[in-house]
Amino acid sequence: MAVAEGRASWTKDQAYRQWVTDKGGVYAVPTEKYPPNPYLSHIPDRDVNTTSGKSLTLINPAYMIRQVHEITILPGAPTEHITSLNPLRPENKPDAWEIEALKAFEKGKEEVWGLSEINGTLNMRYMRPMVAKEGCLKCHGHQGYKVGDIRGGVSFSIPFQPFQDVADEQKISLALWHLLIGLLGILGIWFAFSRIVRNEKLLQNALNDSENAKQTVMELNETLEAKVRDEVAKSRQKDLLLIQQSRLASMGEMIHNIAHQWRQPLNTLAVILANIQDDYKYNELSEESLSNAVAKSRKILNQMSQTIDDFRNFFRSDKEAKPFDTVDIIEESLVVIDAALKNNNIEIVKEYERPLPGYGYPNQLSQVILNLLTNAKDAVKERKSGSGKIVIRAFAENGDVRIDISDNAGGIDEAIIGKIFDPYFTTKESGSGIGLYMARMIVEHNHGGTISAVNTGEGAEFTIRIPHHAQMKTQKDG
Amino acid sequence: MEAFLKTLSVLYVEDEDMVREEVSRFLRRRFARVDEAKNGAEGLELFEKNVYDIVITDIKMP
Repeated sequence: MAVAEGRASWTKDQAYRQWVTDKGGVYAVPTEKYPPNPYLSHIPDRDVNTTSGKSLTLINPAYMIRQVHEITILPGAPTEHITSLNPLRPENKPDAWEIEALKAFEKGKEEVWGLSEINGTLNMRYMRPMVAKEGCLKCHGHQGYKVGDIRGGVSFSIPFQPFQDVADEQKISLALWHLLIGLLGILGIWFAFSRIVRNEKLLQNALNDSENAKQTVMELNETLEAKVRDEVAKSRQKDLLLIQQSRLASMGEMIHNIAHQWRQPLNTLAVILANIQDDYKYNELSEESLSNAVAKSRKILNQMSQTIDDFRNFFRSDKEAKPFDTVDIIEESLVVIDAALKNNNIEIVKEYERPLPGYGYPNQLSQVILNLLTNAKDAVKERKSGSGKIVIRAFAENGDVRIDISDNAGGIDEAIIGKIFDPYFTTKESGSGIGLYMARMIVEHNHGGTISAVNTGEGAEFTIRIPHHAQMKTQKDG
Repeated sequence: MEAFLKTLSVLYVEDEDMVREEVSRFLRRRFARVDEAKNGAEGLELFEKNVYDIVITDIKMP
């Protein structure tokens, strides 16, 4: 760029110089700043006067160019320097770079450019030779030049800083572009790489996941048996706890039933004792009266003892399933609750079909029937004043044993009838919510039967179905 | 008190023999007169025939 500007300046100046040379110099009015050229003093007619008396002086091309440049000189603009190894004007002597260039011209080079420092500033230098022509010899002929000789040269100096700046700017912008493109490239590579890495990670994760899943499945397989065993044990533990709670609840019921059962014999014993005391008081105490009292007391005590045995038998757990007569089971339950029913003025209506053989766990089924009878009794007690009635029906139906227990206590709220067999569901103030749940467990789980409740309009009716003993046996053995 | 009780007549109704026997023996030593009835019908018969100061009866009977 600097070289091109040097060439352009040279061409322009050379044109002016040529023009002036062709004219053999031009005459101008000498001024203080530009007096007649002292280096042209050897030229005749250097200074002339016009016919009107105006004085003119000869301006040679170099002088003209110098004057022009002194007018147009601008900071950063190219400066022209006309020089020669043998200059007329001492100020025009060449500097080190120009000397080298001039020597190069003498060897035939037509153009020289390069960088050199002028007064400590880096300048772009451009120089072309000046070949001696006819017109030149007017002023330089006395120096011994011939046409075609290298007379000297014109050099242009352009401060290189603007170009440097432009170059630097370009360099910087170029560098920035390169950097940007590079960054984009790196970004792209990074993006692609990260995608690959991510995909690989995803793949790895998926693999890990599937590996984990596989691991989990394997662990599950390994631990499934143990887990099932644990769960079964837990469930069994829960059942055992429920059975325990159910027994405790039944025990409470039992104490209640025993209280009813024992109230009368205890009263009787109290009266017998009072009579013995009376006998003594009235001097009527005899061996006979005493023996009579003791015999009666023993009879009562035996009855009371029997009650305990009945109750204990009732709670004895069945060792194994066995054939039973359904009516025996019902009667065993009634023995326990009979006193309580009588004391609450509740009538029991029995409609039995005999014999009614079944197969299963008799004591468990007695417990179920007792539970239903107790519930019926409680319902009657709570809602009915007198004339309470419980109907127990037992009959065969399609080979199954069916037991219906119905009361006249008004029935079960339809909103809760679906929940009454759930564990811990109760409507009683001191209820445990276990009785009917245990009843269901015994009937459904232990006997493969069903238990259900409906409202009859008068009251509630519970129905138990125990499958035929053959089926029962198969199921148990299976 | 004991003397006052000795002026009163009682009708006692109870279906269970042993209980009735023993309770009747106990009552006789404290009241002027004690009549026994084994069931409700018997009790009503006696109640209509005589005048009793006190009637003691079992409520649940055949």
